[in-house]
Amino acid sequence: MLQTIDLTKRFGATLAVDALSIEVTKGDLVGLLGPNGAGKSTTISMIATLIEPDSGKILYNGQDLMAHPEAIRKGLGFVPQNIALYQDLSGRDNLKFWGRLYGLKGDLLKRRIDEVSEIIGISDRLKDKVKAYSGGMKRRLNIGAALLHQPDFLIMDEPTVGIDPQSRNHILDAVKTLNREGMTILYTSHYMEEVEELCRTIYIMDLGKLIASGTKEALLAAAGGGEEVTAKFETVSDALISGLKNLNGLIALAQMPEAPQTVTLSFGGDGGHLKPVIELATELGHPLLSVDVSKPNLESVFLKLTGKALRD
Amino acid sequence: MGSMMWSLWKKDFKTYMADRQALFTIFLMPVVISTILGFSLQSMFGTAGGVSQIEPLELAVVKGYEGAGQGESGKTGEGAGGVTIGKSYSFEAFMEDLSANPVGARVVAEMGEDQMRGYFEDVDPETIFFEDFLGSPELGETLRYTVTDLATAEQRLAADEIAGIVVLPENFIRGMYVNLLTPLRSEVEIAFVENSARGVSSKLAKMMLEGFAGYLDSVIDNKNVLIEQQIAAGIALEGTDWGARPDSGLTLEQRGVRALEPVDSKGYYTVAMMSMFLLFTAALGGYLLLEEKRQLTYDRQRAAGLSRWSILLGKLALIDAVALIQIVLMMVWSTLIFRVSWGSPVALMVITLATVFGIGGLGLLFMTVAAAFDNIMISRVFENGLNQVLALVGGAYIPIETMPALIQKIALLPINGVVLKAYLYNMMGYSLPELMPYVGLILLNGVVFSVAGILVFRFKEVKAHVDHTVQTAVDAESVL
Amino acid sequence: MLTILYRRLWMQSQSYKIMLAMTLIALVINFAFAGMNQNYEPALDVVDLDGTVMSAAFAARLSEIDGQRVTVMDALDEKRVQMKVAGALVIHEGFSAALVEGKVPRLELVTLKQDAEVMTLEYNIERAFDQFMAYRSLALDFEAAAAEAGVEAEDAYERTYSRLVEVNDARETLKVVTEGGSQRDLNAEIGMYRILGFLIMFTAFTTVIAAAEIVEEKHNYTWQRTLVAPVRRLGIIAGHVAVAFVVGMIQLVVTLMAGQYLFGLEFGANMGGLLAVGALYILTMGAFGLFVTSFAKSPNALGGIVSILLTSMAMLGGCMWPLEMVSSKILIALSWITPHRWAFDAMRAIGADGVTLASQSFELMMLAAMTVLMMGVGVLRLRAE
Repeated sequence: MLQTIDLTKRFGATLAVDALSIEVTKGDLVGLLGPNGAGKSTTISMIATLIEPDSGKILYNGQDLMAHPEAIRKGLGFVPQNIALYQDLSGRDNLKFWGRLYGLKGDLLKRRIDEVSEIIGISDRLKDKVKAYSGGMKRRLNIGAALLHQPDFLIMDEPTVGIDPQSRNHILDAVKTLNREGMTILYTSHYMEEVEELCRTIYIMDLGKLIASGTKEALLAAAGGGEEVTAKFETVSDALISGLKNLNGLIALAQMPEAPQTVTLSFGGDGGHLKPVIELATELGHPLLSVDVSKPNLESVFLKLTGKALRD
Repeated sequence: MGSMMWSLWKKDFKTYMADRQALFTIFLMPVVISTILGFSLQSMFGTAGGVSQIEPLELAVVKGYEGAGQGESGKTGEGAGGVTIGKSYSFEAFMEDLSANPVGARVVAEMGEDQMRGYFEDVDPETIFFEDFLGSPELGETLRYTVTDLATAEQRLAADEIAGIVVLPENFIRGMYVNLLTPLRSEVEIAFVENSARGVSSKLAKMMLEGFAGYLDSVIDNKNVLIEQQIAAGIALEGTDWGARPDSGLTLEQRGVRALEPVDSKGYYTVAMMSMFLLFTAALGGYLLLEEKRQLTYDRQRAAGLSRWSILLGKLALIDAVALIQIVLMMVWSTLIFRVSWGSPVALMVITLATVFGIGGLGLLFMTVAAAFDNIMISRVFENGLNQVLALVGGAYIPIETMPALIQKIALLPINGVVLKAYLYNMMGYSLPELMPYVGLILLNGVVFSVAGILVFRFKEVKAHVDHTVQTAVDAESVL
Repeated sequence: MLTILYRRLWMQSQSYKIMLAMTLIALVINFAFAGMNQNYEPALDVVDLDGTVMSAAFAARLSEIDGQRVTVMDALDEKRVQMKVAGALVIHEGFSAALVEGKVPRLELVTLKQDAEVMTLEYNIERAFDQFMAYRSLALDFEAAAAEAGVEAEDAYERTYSRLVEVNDARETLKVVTEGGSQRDLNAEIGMYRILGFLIMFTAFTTVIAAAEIVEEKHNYTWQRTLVAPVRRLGIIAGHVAVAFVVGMIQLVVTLMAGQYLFGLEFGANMGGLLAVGALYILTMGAFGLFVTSFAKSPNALGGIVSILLTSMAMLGGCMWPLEMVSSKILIALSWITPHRWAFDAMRAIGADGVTLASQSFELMMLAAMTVLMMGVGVLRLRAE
């Protein structure tokens, strides 16, 4: 459905997006994951034809969007990162306006407003002005405005930033439902848990570049599967680090610069790696203050690839 | 508390000064505009010698009586009774015209031909019009004219080169002789063709022409009344002086009601523009608090323990500071460049402090209203609507004395009007006690605005806070 | 475009509240200036310190003259001179005695300042005195002639004097008739300038504020959202300019109609022509709003710029004083680049002089050219963003 080929965008001296190539197939729920400043929103803006890329191509259903930007607009639902609503209009009036822009009117518009407000869960507050809504409700309405015209392709740019858990859950459920019903969705976030929960295909970006892509399972497997041990030592020495590096099955070792006593060890294969770590620590006289064992996730994938956390 | 307030004020001041567009608007523009106005509108102000600086008005004069050639008899060059119409209107023709009328005949009979000839030779209508009127020293600096034909005059009018065309009619010469020397009346209509593109200049020139016509008309009427009275009383006409009475020789003494310094256009417009831009400074208040609320920095400050009133006071201090800088800048600029004298320094300081307080109060009101209704458009209406009206009514654009009576009556209502008057009167030499009523009015404005602003803030802000708290509680309940 | 119009004009009540506020302000100005259609006359106090029949006659003569409002008083009130009247003419003691002796009496004009109004008063007083003296001289001459002729002429002086006043006020032998232009006097002419000027000025503010709403939309991100919708870019821009046009036209129509039919202002018989010029002018100011919007970085910055620019343009364009009174050639040249000047010239010619719309083709062309230029730049810049 959508393909970007070597998409590049520069703002002054900053290379915001660097030769990005991604693909979104019809009916898929694709996640675009990356920390703040990775280039996700810039990528989204280019796909939504808000800004022009410096080079590269964006193909939508085979059509080059640079030459025919109108090709995507009719079927695109766009949920921007910022709340893009008229604060002094009611929820209903906002939906009316945005629906009209997409060619809806009369009974059809009315019906769609009712349907969408059920989906996003704000039916009882439609008559109130948006400025009276809570943050979560504004976010939901922000999404609702993008759903009125039943888009083929929905782009959601960090739709759950700064909202309450109830609203977040509501949104995530809504996204799953919409995708089940056949909507293709491109979902960007820096919340790994959301992308893990929702997306089948995941692209990971950092500093404008695509650093990994694939299904969740493939990414985790490429990261080596296994388990992850995070250990906090009372003291750390070169000998300890050297010893840890020589542990059987170790794939990656990461030390936080701001917390050098905490070491994250990624092991491949099956579990059971905690015991050797404790034994080594005891042997070398570096008492453990705390230890955590977990299965690897996208955070650890990212950590492995970049040496920093997603939330850095 | 003191150091907190100082930090607040410093932050606000730095933020404001970092905005180059605001600096341009508030500080540079008054200087630029007052300079432009001061130079361009000198003609609206009298000078010490009472000499107007209005550009001389150009007129074209058409002698409609020259080359007319058609008399009443239809013969070229001759009218009824052999009267020749045109410049060459002879004494014989004059006597014939006079004798054709019973009253005229009586005048001829009583005065005698010799006396009548003497009168005829003394009077020259062209001299009266071109030398005594248009060429008079009083009018010389105001009116200039060229004699031309009608077609050329109309071309010049269409090309907007002249303020109007004066067309002396065909019967001008004859009519003037008859009117001035006989008890008869011959209506003479001088046509004035206005230049509609220069309505004011044109009408000014026409007023002057009407003044001349009115004066001559008076001479004619006076003469005719005298003759009429004499005939009615059976008194002989011979020996009576019917001519225009000489000017009275009056020299109208003039004195100022008090010894005052004159204020020229540069002085007036420096103060006028300053008073107007002070309104913009107050309008700036409309954005200050609103912007903080939008950026959520207001909430952050509140969360840090700052009271609403401290935040408000910080903003108020900024408006006061900006107003003070504006005033000082205008004073320095006008003094250095235009040599404007601002009057007594003590009074100046008092007026300035009062003005800063007053403008601060107005800014406070704008600030709280815009923030309370959370609507930037309110700020726009203040800036572009209300401020313009206040500037107009207060005399910032046009001197108040030239405005309609209704506006003159309310000119002291807007704060900028009072500020303008106070500074102007100080420039003119009023004493501090005489200025105190104006200072009092400025302070009163400040108090009223401040109180209104505080009330708006108190009730709207608290209510908004309560509503927000209630709504948050409702939302929380629905989650649980 | 229509959707944007519907939202801004119908759904968002603040739009029409603001338009209402601006229109009311314009109406208030109209009403205030309607008073200028009445003849303005400077006020003069006449202080008769002589207290004789002759001084009273002169004071009465001053009162009868058109061109000033006279109050006769017994003593000089300097406060009135400072606050209420243009000046006070003091007829000093000895006025009558001086006249009898054939000398020039002492008359003193006390004023606050020297300006055009005082110059008018001086002229009126000197002319009135000359006339008074002329009447007196003629009446005396008649009285003398009657006495010499041995004719009993009762009240000869008074009768002649009264007759002179009567005839002078009634008849006009030498007349000035106006051709072309308007029949308004100078004061009404200036009043008309001001009314039209402020109408044009205030309409500009309302229109530009409405067009500049785009900056607010960018600030709120609703602009970006609109750009993603399947709506033509030009349609979006046109929608906002259309809102500005509608809002400006409503204000213009209301102000003109109220002025003509409620406040008795004279805008002439060609209301259609006036409105046509007004419509083009409003479109030009809408384009100006778009132009300024394309440069403004934030709503705050826009607010300041718009105010200053529009005020300056109104001044330069002749909205506050007739450009013919401006002596500086540079300022006259600058007036060429203000839409205000062309709108004012065309509306004044149509409304005040009764010319046709077609005769104002040059002015209309200038407005159209400015519209195209500013709209073009604004659109290109917005699209480039």
